[in-house]
Amino acid sequence: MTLAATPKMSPAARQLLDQLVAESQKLNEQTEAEALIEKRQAAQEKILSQGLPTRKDEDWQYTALMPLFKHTFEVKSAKSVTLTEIQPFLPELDAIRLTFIDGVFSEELSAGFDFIPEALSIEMADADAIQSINLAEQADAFQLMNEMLLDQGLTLSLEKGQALQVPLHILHVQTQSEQLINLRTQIDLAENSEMMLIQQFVSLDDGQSALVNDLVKVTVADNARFKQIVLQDMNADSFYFANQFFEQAASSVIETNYVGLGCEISRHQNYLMMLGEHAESMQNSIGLGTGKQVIDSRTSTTHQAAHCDSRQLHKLVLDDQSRGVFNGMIHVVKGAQKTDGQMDNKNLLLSKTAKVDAKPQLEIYADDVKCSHGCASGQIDEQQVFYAQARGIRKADALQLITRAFLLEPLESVSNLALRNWLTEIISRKLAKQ
Amino acid sequence: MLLKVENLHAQVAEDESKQILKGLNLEVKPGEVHAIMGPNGAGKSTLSSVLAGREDYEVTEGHATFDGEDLLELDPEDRARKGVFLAFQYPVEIPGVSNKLFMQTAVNAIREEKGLPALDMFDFDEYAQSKIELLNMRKDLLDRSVNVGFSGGEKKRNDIFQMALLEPKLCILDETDSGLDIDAMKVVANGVNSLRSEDRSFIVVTHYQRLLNYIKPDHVHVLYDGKIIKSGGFELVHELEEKGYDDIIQAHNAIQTNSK
Amino acid sequence: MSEATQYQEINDLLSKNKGYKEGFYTQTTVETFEKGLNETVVRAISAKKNEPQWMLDFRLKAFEHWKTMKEPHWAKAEYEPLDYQDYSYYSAPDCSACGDHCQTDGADAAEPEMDPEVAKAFAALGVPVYGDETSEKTNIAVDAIFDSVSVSTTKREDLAKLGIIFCSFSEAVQDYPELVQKYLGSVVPYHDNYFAALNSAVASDGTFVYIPEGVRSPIDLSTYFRINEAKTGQFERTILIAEKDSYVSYLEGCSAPVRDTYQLHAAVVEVIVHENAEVKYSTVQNWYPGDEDCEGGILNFVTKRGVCEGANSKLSWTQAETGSAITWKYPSCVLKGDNSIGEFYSVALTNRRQQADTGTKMIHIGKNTRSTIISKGLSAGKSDNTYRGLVKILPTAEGARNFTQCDSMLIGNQCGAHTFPYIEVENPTAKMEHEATTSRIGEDQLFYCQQRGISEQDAISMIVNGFCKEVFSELPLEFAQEAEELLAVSLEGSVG
Repeated sequence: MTLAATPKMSPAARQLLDQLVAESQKLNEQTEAEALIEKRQAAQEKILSQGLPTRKDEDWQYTALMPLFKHTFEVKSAKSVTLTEIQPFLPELDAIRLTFIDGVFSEELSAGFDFIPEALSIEMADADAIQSINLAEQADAFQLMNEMLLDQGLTLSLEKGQALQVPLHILHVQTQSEQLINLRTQIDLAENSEMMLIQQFVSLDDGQSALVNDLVKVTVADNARFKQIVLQDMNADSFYFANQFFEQAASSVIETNYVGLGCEISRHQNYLMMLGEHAESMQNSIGLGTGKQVIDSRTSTTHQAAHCDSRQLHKLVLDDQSRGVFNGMIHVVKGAQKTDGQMDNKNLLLSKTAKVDAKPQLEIYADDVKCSHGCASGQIDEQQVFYAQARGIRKADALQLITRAFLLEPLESVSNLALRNWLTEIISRKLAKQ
Repeated sequence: MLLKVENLHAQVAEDESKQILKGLNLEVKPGEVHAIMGPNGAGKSTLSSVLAGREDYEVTEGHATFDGEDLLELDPEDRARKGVFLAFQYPVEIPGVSNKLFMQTAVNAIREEKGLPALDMFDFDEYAQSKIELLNMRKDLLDRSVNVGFSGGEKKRNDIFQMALLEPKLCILDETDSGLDIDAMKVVANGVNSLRSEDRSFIVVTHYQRLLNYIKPDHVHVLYDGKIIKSGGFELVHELEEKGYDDIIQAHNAIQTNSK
Repeated sequence: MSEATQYQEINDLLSKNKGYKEGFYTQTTVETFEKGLNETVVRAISAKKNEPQWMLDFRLKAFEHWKTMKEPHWAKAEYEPLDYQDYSYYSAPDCSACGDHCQTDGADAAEPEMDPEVAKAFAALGVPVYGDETSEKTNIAVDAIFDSVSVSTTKREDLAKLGIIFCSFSEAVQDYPELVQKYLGSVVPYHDNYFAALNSAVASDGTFVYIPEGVRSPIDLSTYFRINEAKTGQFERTILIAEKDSYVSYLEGCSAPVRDTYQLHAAVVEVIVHENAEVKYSTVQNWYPGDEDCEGGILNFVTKRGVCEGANSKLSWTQAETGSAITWKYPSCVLKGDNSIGEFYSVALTNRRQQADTGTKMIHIGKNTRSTIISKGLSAGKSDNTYRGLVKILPTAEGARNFTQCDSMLIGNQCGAHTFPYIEVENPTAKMEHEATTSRIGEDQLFYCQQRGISEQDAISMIVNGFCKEVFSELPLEFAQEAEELLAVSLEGSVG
């Protein structure tokens, strides 16, 4: 492989990239399937020619990756973990629970198999059963990374007309330092089916940095309903990058909520394509940053068909020296008439050194549309605090009360009460700690 | 005859399954006030829209002549210029366009049609002020954007104010009473009554009789399932008030069944 | 704007002629440089203008830097890379070639020497180039710029009595070198961006305005830019300085003849506002947009920036952008002084295949600085209209406030409207709000108007003017009228 045309990168970035490519090569050496080897190599070449992103890349201008480059991440085999160790992370909720330790499925830590109907297929598929990503022009570096490190993927498919009675809960526990966890999930919902998916990312201990790189593809057929909660609550030394691709057909519904609490740098990106008429989507996110965390939440929503509604509410609360980023794009193609797209981003800065960068964008090529975005940033309304104080509430409590109310608003759409309470509790816990 | 509607059939544009008017007949002479009453979904608003020329509806059969001219062939603005006025069920907001500019443009368009010289700003102002008093409109009406920030009642009154300015030959009031409190309704009724004259006709479309107690119609029609199923004088209003639509509809259905 | 003018405007509008009426070409003797750009050309421009060494040095430094830069293509506008060797970088009516010695005697001496054809051209454009003209626009001082040079500046002696300097940029280089040296490049450095570097190297002419301490300019100052020669670039440099406690309202307008090849316009404007001073800067941009496919229109790449240097200073940009094939323009405010205020009011209309990528940057540095952005984008035909803006609140900007409203309206289904705001907040006490909406001229609104006897075309122009009202009300009266008329003309044929 020639490295002649490699782009400008810092020595640290180059080192990490070389390290990751070496990890990919290691996988190749253990692989026999020619096609898979080629797939990984194509991604290797692409990422080497592109390099890792720098702040000069428009999409990374607000997300500096320097802290990431200090690490050397490796694929490691899973440690053994007991049920008692993971118990504190679990919600009291009837669910089908699939537990993964360091990216590896653990049957003994999983539960609720009785709830699995015949109509639902859950498989750890070999890489050849997984769709490749599109290596188009400027592919995102983390997507390429995911592709070149692809080994197995989780596939979920639900048959026509079937509704899962309980949520499907996927718990990812990270246990080791300098660990690379590459995840791929592919979800198919057939016509008129319904699923609630919870993805939870946690660290067993503090101080052990891992890199989670998650890539999720969701296909939702006509009239099907997909609901999703992604809760990222890893330790403050880890890194999380997720790219989620959604495609929804006519009259289908997608609701996705992201809660970002942990990690030194986390970035959660949705790409949502509304392909059939009368589809509805809701994308919300909650980010709470403390210390030097960077919390980056982004969406790209394409109205490809007419008569679709998309709704978004993204909230960031930033304390200490944390940094929040929201980047949203609503794209309405020609002919997608009667589109109704709304995107709201509201941010609260709690400290003098916290920062927020927002880019709510609209790109519209159809004329009969209603699109709007709003963005507001500020600090807590002192009037509200005073009002609470005047009613006898301590100032610290008042601040927390108001902040919590601000932050929890996007969860109002979560109809499962037990689930909502669980999320509320986790978020409140972090708020109380700061 | 001012308006003559014969065997009018209309559907939602480009949707044959939504046939709304199914052979409607109506004759209105100059100076007459007709009330068209009917239950929800009978086609009352469709009739108003079709007469005013809204493109959401498509006429599939029948005729309508206005002052001897084929009404259905005309563009909406030409119908307006010839004297058809529609007071909207939901008057539209036009942010940024003042009532003054809006109405002056409209008044002059209609004056042009009548071969009258355009009113300049001063003449228009004077003309408008007299009508503002008549309808008890707010003083800053002319400076405000069309219907923006108006309450439901204010919007309806603004439409009647526009009617007073444009002096049409045929006024169609599409559920103008809906959402009006008693005081607002009196204002609207006063406005309408003051405009009644030998050469101006009204079609008052409504679900309820209460507006008709203030605007006494000469003729009352009951519209049901796209047709006029019963016509009469003012006494029909009282009959409806006492018995509701069901009796008349049942009687109508019985005749239909018998004749089959 | 009063209702009276608006009403008058509608009547005018109904009887309006079609097309780009400023598209005529003036036949006059001109001196035009050979096409091409190199160091010799830069030196020749400087020599032609008899410039001192420091000005030449500035140009050469910028030119050297420009050569190392790449033409930017990040804006949402597509154009082929330009061939900078295919343009002429200096063109002037012959008579004003001798301008240097004429101008030293001030305007009175220069005026009689204006080429009569050039004078006619400005008369046809309604620009009062003779200060004593008893036209309705006499309450305004005008600097008229024809291709690369300023051909006339009116009312100078009246202004001079107040200590106001209002002259062409070339004259200022000669007559007020200290001021020019102090401020040239202080707001927009020569290396700021590709087109600013190009402008710094080959700056043709422009306007220089200086308002001394405590003076409120009693009349509006204005510049009218006219590109006449084919394949000529116009690179004006405008510097406006408002000293402590002063006030000025400055307007600029522009047009060009109909051409079949792209013409290049790359201007730089620098505004410096000192303590308690206020500057209103208004632009009506009506460069030739090109033919039906926007071939041959003006490529308008402009860097406008002002700094609110002193406390309580205020800078307000108002623009109506209707012309040009491509517009790339972000009038910005650097709010340094505490309590300083930046404003940006913009109407950008695109039709046919026009592309506009315009917006503003509000950089909040001082305490309690405030900024307001009102942007109205109208797209019709097959055009693309983009708002791109940055609101940056630095850690020092305690109590800063920003309000942004950007609305887009689409007319027809072949066009695009885009909003790309960048919001960066680094101070918790800052409060910023951003709202954006996209809508179209609704069928129900059109029907309501039609039901009152107003034709569709009139209804559209009425609604469009309503949509733009918040911005037009910021323009000086005559400009507001002009802007509305331009909108109507530019919108013709966009519906139905």
